[in-house]
Order: sequence, then structure tokens, then C-alpha cells
Amino acid sequence: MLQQAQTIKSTSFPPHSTLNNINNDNTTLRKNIEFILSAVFDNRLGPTIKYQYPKSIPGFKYPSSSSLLSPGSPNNSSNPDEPLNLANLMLPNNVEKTPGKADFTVFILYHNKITQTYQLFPPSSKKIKNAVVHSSANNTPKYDKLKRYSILVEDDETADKVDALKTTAEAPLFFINVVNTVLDETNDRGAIIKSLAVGTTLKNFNIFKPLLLMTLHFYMLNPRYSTAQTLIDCFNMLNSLDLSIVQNLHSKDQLQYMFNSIMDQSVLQTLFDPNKGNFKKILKCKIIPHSDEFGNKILFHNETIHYYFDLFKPTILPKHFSKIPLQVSLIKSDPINISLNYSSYVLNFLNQFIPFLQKLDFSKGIKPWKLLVTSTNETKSTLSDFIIALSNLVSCFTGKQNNYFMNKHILIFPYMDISIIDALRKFLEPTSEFHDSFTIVGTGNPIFQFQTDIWDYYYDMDSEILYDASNHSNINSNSLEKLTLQQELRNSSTSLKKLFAKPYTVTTISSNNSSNHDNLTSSNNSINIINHGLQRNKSHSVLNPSSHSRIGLLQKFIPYLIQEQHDNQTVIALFKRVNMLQLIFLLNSPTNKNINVPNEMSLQDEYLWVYKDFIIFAEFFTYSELHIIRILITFENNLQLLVKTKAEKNISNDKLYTQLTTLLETTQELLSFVTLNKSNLERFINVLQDYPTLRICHEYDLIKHDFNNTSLSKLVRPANKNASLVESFIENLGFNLLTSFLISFDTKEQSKTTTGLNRSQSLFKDFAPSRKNKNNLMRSSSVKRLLRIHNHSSSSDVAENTPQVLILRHKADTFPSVSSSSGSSDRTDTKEINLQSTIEKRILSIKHNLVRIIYKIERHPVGQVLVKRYIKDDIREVYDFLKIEFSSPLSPTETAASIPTVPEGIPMSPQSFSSSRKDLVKELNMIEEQQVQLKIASAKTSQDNSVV
Amino acid sequence: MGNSISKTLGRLFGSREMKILMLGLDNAGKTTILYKLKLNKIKTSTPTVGFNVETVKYKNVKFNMWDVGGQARLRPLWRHYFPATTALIFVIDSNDDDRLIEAKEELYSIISEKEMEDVVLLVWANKQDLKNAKKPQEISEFLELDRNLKNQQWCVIGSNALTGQGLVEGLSWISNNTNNK
Repeated sequence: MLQQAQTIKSTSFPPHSTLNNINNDNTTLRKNIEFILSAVFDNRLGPTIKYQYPKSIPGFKYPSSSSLLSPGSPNNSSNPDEPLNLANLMLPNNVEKTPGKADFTVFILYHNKITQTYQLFPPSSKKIKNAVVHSSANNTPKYDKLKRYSILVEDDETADKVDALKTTAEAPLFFINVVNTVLDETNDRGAIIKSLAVGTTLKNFNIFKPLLLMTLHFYMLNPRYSTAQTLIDCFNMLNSLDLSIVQNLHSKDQLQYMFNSIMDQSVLQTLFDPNKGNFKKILKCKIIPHSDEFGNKILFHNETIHYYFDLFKPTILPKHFSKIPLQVSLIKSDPINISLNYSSYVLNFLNQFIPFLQKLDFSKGIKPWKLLVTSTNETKSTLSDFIIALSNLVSCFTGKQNNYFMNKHILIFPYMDISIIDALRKFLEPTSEFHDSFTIVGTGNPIFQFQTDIWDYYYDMDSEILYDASNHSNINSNSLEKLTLQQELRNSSTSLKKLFAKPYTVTTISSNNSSNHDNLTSSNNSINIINHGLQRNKSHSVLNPSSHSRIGLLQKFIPYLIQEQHDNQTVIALFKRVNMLQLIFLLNSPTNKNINVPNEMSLQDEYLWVYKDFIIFAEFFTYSELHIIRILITFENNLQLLVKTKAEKNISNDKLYTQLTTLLETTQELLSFVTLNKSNLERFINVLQDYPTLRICHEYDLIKHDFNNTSLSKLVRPANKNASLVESFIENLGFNLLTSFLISFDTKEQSKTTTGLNRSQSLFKDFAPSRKNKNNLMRSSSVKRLLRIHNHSSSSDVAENTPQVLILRHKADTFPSVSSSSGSSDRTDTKEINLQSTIEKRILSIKHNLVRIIYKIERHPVGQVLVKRYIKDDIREVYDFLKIEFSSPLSPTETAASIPTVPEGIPMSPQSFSSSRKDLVKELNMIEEQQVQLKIASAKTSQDNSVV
Repeated sequence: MGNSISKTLGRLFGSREMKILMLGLDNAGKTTILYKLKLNKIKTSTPTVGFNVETVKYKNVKFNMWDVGGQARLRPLWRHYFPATTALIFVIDSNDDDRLIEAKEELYSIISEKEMEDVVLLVWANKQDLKNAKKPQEISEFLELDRNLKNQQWCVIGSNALTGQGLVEGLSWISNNTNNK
């Protein structure tokens, strides 16, 4: 009677004969999916694993469990000898209520290196350490268990072994599971409930959903199809593809960051157009491939790649299955790809959750929060995606380990069944290494609300109510009323709601989501149900403003995002900019005495400590990105100083010289950075795309200011007439910042210059730039010689009548003081003339550097399209012209802008996170010092060369 | 303070709420009973994957009724539903002689838990419409509750989920015996 999980060993089921040997070899070497499982709801036993292929998942081999039938037997989850029943996760609660409607769940298995098994919770690194120490000391037979790491174990240093074990952390296995209920009168309980799941290391596991759904449908269609062979076919089919093209592209983090920051669809279309050269460069191939390595046909369409199952010949699956291509997006939009709309679900949650985080007082000790999310109305697919969306916002699954704040682990469990609760408790018990982990857990069972020891915050997705456990001391005795309250809140009148809300009084925060978002949110500290107010498709109630927690910048933007109903890309773009803006403010804030930030803390921790707004984009917290951000801030500040100086009536040449010198140094530093390697360039382009307006930063203390009554519309300049506040805020400003100097500082003669430039452009066509035509370069260089003459002469009579001079005028006019003073040079002393000359050279050098930086960007396949899209036409014209000008080896600025070579050993592009802010500053200063030395060395070399 | 206000309001309006946990072996008829009480309809019965929870109003009492699946692998999970339970309803298929012992063992396993020592126990001897179904008295004797359950209130009532026989009586009994809860 008892059904036992069947393991179909791959040896007993040889790979399908129709798959050629090459395919089988490759399948073995590089699997897209590692396991396929099926589960069935047995009318007597309950959830049961039916098949596992190609073998039992290590750690989940189910024995004959007669003990399960014996009454009063201990919970299987508490029995260490019995594995947790994965079928409980594959057959989610209430699936029988929606017959015919398939649903999806996600679960994750982590590999335990000691036991060589998989488990539902991350393995303890302490146990690994102990095992290594034990093995090293005793050289016991257990040592054999570490066979895979024998090289490490043989090493003398135990610490090294442990580190090595830690660092060789394997990617977890993500299981995407599809489940369905089919009503069947022949069944004694009237329905058949079955599921299929595939386990993969690919984070874009959602790509398998369509095929998995079709296979399950087929599997449930007829009992004769409910065989292991159906699973084997599915397994072989998915592994018959070589996904290396897309995997390779997804593995390039910097490139993916760039793709994700592109907000213009036309840019993406250009980038991924197989008929254009950019795409070939992105793929790093001369010819766009038409097949994968195994020989399956592939097609590129927009941003997706379509894989056809040409080589796979099914045994039992219908042939038409293999006609439908597997579609994979070339853009990895999130650490884990989801199909959930942030605006509908996540933003409402964040709007309630962040105020709670704001109230946390870290100075009293850091107690990681535990968040439980439940929904009985939403599909399990939505619930799982919701949890994964939150994990994406805290940069989970981007590194080797999921650490969040203060190096504490964060557990992500997309869908949890009540059967797992004891294992969760064990994971969090005081003696566990993970006892102080953050947790984000999803469940479809409201009984979890009664288990108050495993959550600090309980979010009911259906009613959009957030409960705070700290104010629910007596939850068990009152939980019935609480549940009823939820219904009351939904069904009763407003006044009644208030009446009933009081007993629970957990919180309340409600946000004003009216057209004027500037009067946002306030909260009552004495309440403990958060009565949102930003529910989907609902008008929003106004809060009692008597007392409320501070509203930070990020939270201030959320109602705008909800109201304007933006797509996920826009939401993420805004969060990134706020993240960077707040980071910039933090970096520039001298001390944090008032907020008691411990001295030794990583910058990312300091950020979370200070802002407490949940979201973090880890990519901004690396040395390289911080370095770029710092340079850009300096660059922007210097530019602004120059603008101010320019606006002065009597411009001091000394002051001008100093400011230009600083700006030149900044551009040189930037140039050195981006030309060092491709990774740096890509990081720079990425930061440039997400670079926010610093205006808010200048106006307000982002750490302390309460944005409750602050009007954002006054701080965010509209990008255009039709642009919403969010669209204006995420406008691409970086390229404008980078290029504005090229046409700046010529206000007085702007029109003249532009006209002149236009004329010059048309006239310049005759000797347009071409590397093939040396004559053009010759002509170009002759112009430069004229430029020098012009710049150093007091008369321009001759030049006025030549097109070349118009171009030169443009250059000279870039700073009015230079032009104006040059007219009276005969009345100035030699020193003043020299200073003016130097100033002009500085301007040219800065422009030269900027042109080289833009040119460098332009040479990148993505940068090229971005330059074309985001550099304004007038600047573009100047840039194109200057590009020709500076391409000559006789350029006067060649020496000044020469790129210093960086010797080995300088940490220009480290990947690791900062250990502390102190260290970070120290290292950044060190880099700066080294660069200054390099500049000096470079200048000396240039001088020597010129002497020679 | 909030909770006391709520309770005071409840007393003023004479309303009460309680959590009822309905357990029993698979195919005993728990879900059919739940939806007969909730909707007065016979819902197509499929096995319960996990649980069902519905609020049933009877007189001035709101019963939050949790119906948990009774399959063998789900039974060890019943204990997670124990907290804050006011009354336990144990449903027995009176027509299934072969599994009566199994049902009895499961029942004693539940009521021996510390968390359940204060709950009132109602046993619905279900499927009384079937020809060979044991009578409530027979079920009661078989369960030996009078001998083994001296500190808890208990009652065995015959029921037929299809017609609703015995269901209201059961809720009435719970309501009357949980006045102080």
C-alpha cells in the first residue's frame, strides 16, 4: 500500500538513443537541469515524491516510511534520520481548490560539502570548519567524505582549508515546480493532484516554466503517460540544448548592469539587432551564430534568444513539444528573474515595511528581523515571486553567500509549508550559526501567524496588512480576533474600521496617495497594525500626523511609483538613483556622531545603519564604483565652481587657473581609470547611466531630513513637459554632465560659436575625418597650427575670413575671459599673457581628456549606442569636431592629456567589498597618491621625450 | 488595552469568537461538514491539501473553523494548528470499521498534548446515513472517553454532512460549553 519514491537511475535508463553521442557527452558535462522530480497527492498518505531522475537528490532519498502511518509518530521534520518531504513544497496548500489552473512554486536546495548532500537551509560553515579540523587532526576515515576537496585538506593550514571550503561554495539548486489538480471521477477522491519540478543552478529558471507546464499537462492527461519516461524525456529535452551563449552573457555582471540601466527601448533594439555590428561585438563573435554548440538552431529576436530542440527526439512526449523554442532573455534584469510587477505588490509592502525599519534602534543592539509573508488568495507563483523580488532588492544571490546587514545571513524561502517550520526553528535556534539571520519567508498558510517565534513582521498580502510581533505579545489568545479584524477592516465602514482597529492597535501608517504626494505619511507609534493606505486601485486615506517616523527619500518616492504605475525597470532605476544619491551624501558627510555609527563598519553596513530603507544595490559598494562616483562628484562640483566663476563680473585668471587645473586633474584621473581596462570602462558607463541629480543632496540632509512635508516636484526638474516626476528623476544625466564642458563657458558668444561651428562643420566636410585619408589629417593639423597662432596672437584679422578660424574661434571662445583679455594683450604684462595662455591650454586639455573618455565609451559596443542616444546634438557636433582635432599627434594637449601607465599592484579595479569606511578612504587616498605620482612620472617622461 | 476593548465590545453586543480545530482521518468528511456549515451546500469533495479555514456564524458566536487534511503524512503537522484552539472537533467515519482503531489512536494522540488539555472535545460520528455506520453511542463506547477523559468536556454526536444532521447540534454544544473561554 505504501508508495515509495522511485528513483530512476540514469544507468537503468540510458540516454535516449536518438540523441547522438556528442549530445550525451555534453549533457553530462554541462547540464541545464540537474534533477527532475514528480510528486503526487496520495489519497491515503498525502504529498508523496513519485519519481526522481537521474538519481535521488542526495539528502532526499525517501525510505519506506511506515512510521509515518503510526499514530502519534513524531513529525517527520523533527526526525533527523528522515529527510524533509519535498512533496509538501511541490504540492502547495489549497491547490485542490483551483482544478485546471496550474500554479508554480519555487524552492532552493543548498549543497552541504561535508555530507555531500543537499538541504533546504544553508549549511553551517562552522560544521565545515570542525569537519576540516577533525579530519586534519585525526586523519580518520571521515576524511574520505571530503574527497572532493582532498587538495584543500592536504594543505597544512587548517584556516586555509576552511577558507577554501567556504570560497568554493557551490551555487544552490533552484527548483521551479508546477502543480495542477485535475478532477477525475474515476478517482476515489474525485481528483488527481500532481506536480513536476526541475532543479537547476540557473538563476533564470523561469525559462523552463512553459515546457514544464506542457509536460505536466501531458503527464496528467492519461495514466499511461504518468511514467518515469515522461520525466526522462523532459530531462533530456532540456539538457539537449547548449545555453552557453546566454549563460556567458549573463555571467558578465558589468555588461548586464549596463543593459539594465538602459531605459530607452530603442537603444536596446539597436544593441540587440543581429543585423548590426554592436550585437556581434557584445557576443564577441564575427558572425552571429545560427546554432548552439550542439547544433540546435538558435534565433535572436529583440532581447531574447530562441533555442529550438532540433536534435532531441522524444520517446513519449509529443513531437510538437520540440517545435516550441525555449526563449531566454539576454538581459538578466534581476539577480533572479521574476515576472511579478513591483508596482502591484512590492511597493505597497515597502511603503509599510520601511517605516518599521526606521524605528529600529541599532545602538541598542542589532536584532535581525524576520519577515513572514502570507497569502491565501494570490497564486503561489505570485507569492514566490514576491519573496524573490524582495531578495533581489537586498542583492541576494548576487554573491557566494547571502549576507545582508553586518555580515549577517539572510534566508530567502520563497514558499514554505507548515511541515518545514520545525526545520526553520532549528535553523534559527540560539545554538545555530544562523540564529541571528534575517529571514524572508513566504507561505500560503495563515497558521504561521500563530507561530510568533519565527517572525517579527507578518505581512498579509491579501489584506495588505503588516503585523509587528513586538506589539503582539498576546497573539495566541487574541489571534482569532485579529483574523476577524482583517475581515472587519475590509467589510465594515470606515468608522467601524477605526473602532475595530483600536483593539489591535498595532500601528498605523497610512499614506496619503492623493495627487499631492508631498503631504505624505505619518504614523502613530502607539499602533501596531499598519493600515497601509496605498492599496491597489484604492484611494488612500490620510494619516494622523500627530506622530510619525521620519520619511526618507526612498520612501518619499514610493507613492509616486505606485500612482504612476511604472514598470519594474523604472522602479529599479529609481531605487538605484536614490541608492547612489544617499551613498554620495553618506560619503560626503564628515561624521555620523549623532547616529552612533560604530567606527569599524563596512560602507554598505553604514549605509543600511543610517538609512534603514531596506533596499541595497551591492554593485555600488565596490571600490571601483565608489572611485568613479567620487570622481564624478568632484567633476560636477568643479564644473559648478567654474560656472560660478564665469558668472562673476571680474574674473580672476588665478582663480580660473586653479579651478581649471583641478578639473583637468579630475578628467585625467577619470581618463586613467576608464582606459585601464574594459571592466573599468563598463563600470564607468554603468555609474554614468545611474548618476542622479545631486540637487536634493545639496538641499537636504538625506540622513536626517524628514521628507514628509517636502515637495519633490520642486527638487526634481521636469525632463520635459510630459515627463512625470519619476521619469524626470531617472532621466539620464550622466552623459550631459560628462560632455557639457565641451560647449560650456562661452555664454557670451554662444550663438556666435554655434553659428560658427555649424558653418565650420559644413565647410569642414571637405576634409572630414577619415583614418584612411592622411590628407585630411594633414589638413586638420594645419588647422591646429593656426589655432596656436590665433591663441597667441593679438590680431585675428586674417583668421576672421577663413573657415578654419571660425573653428578656432569656437575653441578660443570657450572661455570669455580668454577672448576678452586677448584683445588687449598688448597692455598686459608677460606674466598675465602666459597665464591666459596656460588657461587656454587647460581648457583644451580638459576637452581633450573628455573627448578621449567619450571616444573610449564610443568604442564600447554599448557605449557607442549610448553616446549616440544621450549626447545632445549640439555637443555631438562639437565632439565630432574635437575628435578630429585631437586625433592629430601634433595636438597641443597631447602631452597634458597623455595617459599614464599604471604599474602592476595598484588596486585599480578590486572586486571585494570594503572592510570599513576607514579602510576605504585610506585606500582611495592611496590610489590617488599613486596616480599623482604616475602623472608626475608621465610628465617627466614627456619632458624627456620632448628634450630628445 | 486594545484586546480588552475588543472583548468589552464583544460582551456589549453579546458576540463571541473562537478557533475550532477540526481533525480526523482522511475521507472522514471534515471538508464536507465545513462547507455544509458555511455554504449549506455539498461541495465537490477533493482531498484537502493542507487546510481549509472558514468563519461560520452560529447565533452570536463566530467559529473560525480550521479543517486540516487527515492523510498520514499530514497528521504529524496537526500539532502546528493547536495554538489558541478553543474546541477540537474530531470527525470519524462511522462506516469505516477498519480504521476506527487508527482514528481512536490519533484522537488520543491529539488530546494528550499539553496545548490541548483545556479544549472541549466534540466527536462527530459522521456518515450516519450509511447502512453499516456505527451509532454515536457505539462510537462513544469504542473511544472510551468517559474513562480516559475526566478533566475535559467531551461529547459524541451523530452527523450526516450531506443533510446537515447533527451539525448545528454540535456547534450549539460547543457554544454552550465554552462560555467562559
